Amino acid sequence: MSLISVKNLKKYYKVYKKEPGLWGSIKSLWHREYEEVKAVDDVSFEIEQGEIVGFIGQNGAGKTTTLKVLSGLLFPTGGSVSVLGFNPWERKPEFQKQFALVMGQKNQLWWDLPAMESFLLNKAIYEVPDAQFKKTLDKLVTLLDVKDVLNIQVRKLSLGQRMKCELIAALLHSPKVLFLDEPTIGLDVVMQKVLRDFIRDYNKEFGATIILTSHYMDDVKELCKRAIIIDHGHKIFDGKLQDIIDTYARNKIISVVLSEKVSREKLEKFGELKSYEDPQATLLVPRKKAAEVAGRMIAELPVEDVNIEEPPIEAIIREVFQTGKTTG
Amino acid sequence: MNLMVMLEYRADFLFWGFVSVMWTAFNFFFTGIIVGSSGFLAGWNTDEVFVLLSIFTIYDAFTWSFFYFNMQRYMNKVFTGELDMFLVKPVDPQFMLSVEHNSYNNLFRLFIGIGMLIISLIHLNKPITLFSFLIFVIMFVLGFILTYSVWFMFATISFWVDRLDNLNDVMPSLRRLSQLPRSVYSGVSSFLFCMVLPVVLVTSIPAEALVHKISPLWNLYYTVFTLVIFWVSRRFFYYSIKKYSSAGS
Amino acid sequence: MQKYWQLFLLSWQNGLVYRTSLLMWRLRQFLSTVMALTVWSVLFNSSSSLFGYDRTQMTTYIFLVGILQSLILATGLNGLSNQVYSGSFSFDLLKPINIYVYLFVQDMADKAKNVFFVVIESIILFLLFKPSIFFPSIETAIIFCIWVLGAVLLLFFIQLIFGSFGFYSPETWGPRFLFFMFVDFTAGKLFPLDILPPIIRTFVGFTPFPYFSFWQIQLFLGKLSPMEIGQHTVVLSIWIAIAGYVSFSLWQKGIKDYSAAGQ
Repeated sequence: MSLISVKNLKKYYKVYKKEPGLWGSIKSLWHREYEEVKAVDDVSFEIEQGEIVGFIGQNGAGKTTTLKVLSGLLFPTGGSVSVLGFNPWERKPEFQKQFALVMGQKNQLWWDLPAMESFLLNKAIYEVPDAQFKKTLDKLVTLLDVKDVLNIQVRKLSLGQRMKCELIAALLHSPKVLFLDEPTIGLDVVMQKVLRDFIRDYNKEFGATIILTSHYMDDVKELCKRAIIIDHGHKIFDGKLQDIIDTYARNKIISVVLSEKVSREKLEKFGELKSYEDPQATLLVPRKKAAEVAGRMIAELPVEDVNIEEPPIEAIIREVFQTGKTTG
Repeated sequence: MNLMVMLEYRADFLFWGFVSVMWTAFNFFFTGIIVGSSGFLAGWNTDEVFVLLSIFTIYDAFTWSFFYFNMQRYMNKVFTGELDMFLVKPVDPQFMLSVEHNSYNNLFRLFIGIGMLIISLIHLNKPITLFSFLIFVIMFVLGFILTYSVWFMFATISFWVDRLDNLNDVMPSLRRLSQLPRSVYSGVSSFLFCMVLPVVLVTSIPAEALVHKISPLWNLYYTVFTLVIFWVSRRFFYYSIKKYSSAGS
Repeated sequence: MQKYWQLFLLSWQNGLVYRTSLLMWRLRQFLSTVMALTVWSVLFNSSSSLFGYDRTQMTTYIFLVGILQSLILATGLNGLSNQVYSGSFSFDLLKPINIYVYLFVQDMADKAKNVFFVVIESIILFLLFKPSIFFPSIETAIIFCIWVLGAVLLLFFIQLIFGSFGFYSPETWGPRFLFFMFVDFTAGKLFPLDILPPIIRTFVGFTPFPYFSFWQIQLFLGKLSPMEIGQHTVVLSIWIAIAGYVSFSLWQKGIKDYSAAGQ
C-alpha cells in the first residue's frame, strides 16, 4: 500500500455569480446563478514513502485543490483518497499530527506577534515534548539561519524570513508528509536556493514524503525526480521530470546584450528571434544546440553578456498540452 | 459598467441612509422620553434639548462627511510618503489635505437635523432675532473650526509616531459628549470638556443662542479658544512638515 | 488542555498589540458610561423615582451595563467570516484541535482582556461619582453569573453563525452590523427597556436580545420573582440550544461545501 493513494479523485465547485458589493450580497440571498467548475476531474496517482513529487500546472489547473483534498480541507466530490492510511477528510488528530501544509501565499503565523509565539502555540497544539521541541527548533533555526528574527513581530519580517519561519512552524512536529504549495513564490533567487536546499536536506534526513507545487521550473527540476502535470483538472503527465523536458521543451532561450547594433537578419541566422530591442535580443534555439549556438554568437557578434535559460514552465506545459494527452 | 457602479453606490448610500436615519430617530425618541419624564434636563426643556440635538445631528453629519476620511487619508499619506506630492504643489497643503475627499453617506442626517431644528424651534415658540441668529451662525461655524483644528492636530501627530494606529478615532470618541447641554456636566467632566477640550461647547454655545440662554463670557472664551487652537494647529503642522522634509527620503 | 491555555495566552497578547486602538475603544465605552451617569444623576435631582428605578438602582444599572457590555457583547470573533472567506482559517482546520473550542478560547481571551479594563474603569468611575450601588444576595449573584455565562455562550453561537456566512460570501458585515445595531436598542444597553412603550416592550420580550444585559440586571436589582427567574432560565436555555444547533449545522455544512477556490 502506498503512502499516498488517490483514485479517480473529483472535486467540482459550484461557483455562483454574484454582483459585487453589499447590494449584490443581499440580492444573492434569494437569487443565485450557479456555475459548475471542475477543479479536479478524475485524477489518480500513488506516492511512495520518501518521494519528492512536483505538481506542475497553470494557475487554476487544480494543483492547490488536490493538495487541499489531501490535507482534508476539501471534501472530494468523487473518488477516494488515502494518506498515511487515513481518510484525510475525517481529520483525525493522529493523522493531523503527521503532516503539514505550507502555502507560500498564505500566512499561518500570528501576524502581530513574534514568530516564536506561534512556534510555542504549535508545540502545545501538536503536543511536542519539550526536549524534542528544543532539538528540532535548534536544528531548523540553524539550518535556515533565522536565530536573530525569532523575537521580531512577524509583520516586520521580510518575505524570505517569514517564509523560513512558516516552514519552521510547519515542521516543528516533524511531519512525515509535507505539502508545499508555492513555497518559493515572490522570493529572490538566493532565497529560493536556500529553501530548495533546505527542503532537499529535510527529505533526506527525515525520509519525509513531500509534494511540492511551484511556478518555478528550477524548484521542481532540482528537487523532484518525479513530476505530475495537471491541466484543467486532468492529469496529463506523470513520470520523470527529465522526460518531460527532453520530450517537450525542445528549445532553450538565449538572451544576449550587444555592445553595438547588429541587423536583425544577422541575429536570425542563429535561431528564432523572439524580440530585439537594442541592445537586448532574445532567441529560441533547439535545446541540444543551445551551448554551441551561444558559443558561436560570442565568437561572431559583439556580445557583452549572454544567458541561457529554460523556457518558462508555462511554455512547456502549453507544449505538453498541445501535443495531446499523454499518460505516464 | 458605469450604471452598475452607480447602482452599487446607490444601494450602499441607501443602506447607510437607513442606518443613520434609524440612529437619529432613535436618539430623538430616547431623549424625548427621558427628558419628558421630568420635563427638564438641567434647566432645558424637551424642545430646547431637541434644538441642541438637531444642531448636534447637523454638526455630526458634517464632520463625518468632511473630516473623517480626509484625516484618515492625510495620516496614510504621511506614513506612505505620498505627502511629498502635496508639498510640491503651489497650494496651501493644509487646505488641500483637508478637502480632498468627501463622503455623502451622511446627507440624510443633515436633512433630518435641519428639519428637526426648524420643527423644534417652531414648537419652542421663542422669537429669534437677527442678532441671536447671527450669533448662532458664527458660533456654529466656530465649532467646525475648533473640531477641525483639534482633529488635524491629532492627525499631525502621525508625523511623530512610527506606526499607524487609530489616532483618527480620538475625536469621534469624544463626539457623544456633545449631545447634552453643557449645564449637565459638573465637576471634573465640566472642567475637562467645557474648558480644557471644549467639545461640549461645540453644540451648546450655538444652541444657547437660539433658545435665549446666551452667556457672553462663554461665547468669548469659546471664540478665543477656537482661534488660538486654529493658529496652534497650523504652527504644529508646519513645524512637523519641516521635520518631515529635513528627515530626507 | 495545555494547547488551549497556550492559545488563550497568545490571543490575549495579540489583543494588546494595537494599544491606541484599544485605548480609543475603551475611552468610548468609558465616556458613554460617564454620560449616562451624568444624565441620570441630573434627572434624579428633581425626582426620586424614574421609570420604576430609584437613584441607587439606576446607578447600579449603568455600572452593570458597562461591565456586561464588555463581557457579553464585545467579542473577538468579528473577523471570523473574513478569515473563513479568505482561507486563512484553513490552517486552523488542519491542526489536531477542536475548532469550536479553539474559537471559544479566542473569544474568552478577548473578553478577559475587556474585564481587565472594565475593572480599572469601574474604579475610576467609582472614585469620580462616588455612587451608591445595590448589591444582591449571594444566591441571586450566583444565578446572575450563570445567566451572564449563558449570554456569553448565546452570543458566541450567534457569532459562529455570522462567521459561517464567510463560507459563501465575502461581505458579511452588513447583516452583522444591523444585528448589533438592533441589539444595542433591545438589550437594554443604552437605556432600561422599561422606558419603552408597552407594545414595543412586549415585542422585544419575544427576542433573545434582552438576555444580552437587561434580564441579568433586573435579576441583580431584585426585580424578578422566583417564578420569573425560573421562566427566564428556561427561555435562555432554549435560545442557547437553538443558536447552538443552528451554528453547528451551519458549520458542518459550511466546512463540507468549503471551496475557498484557488484561495
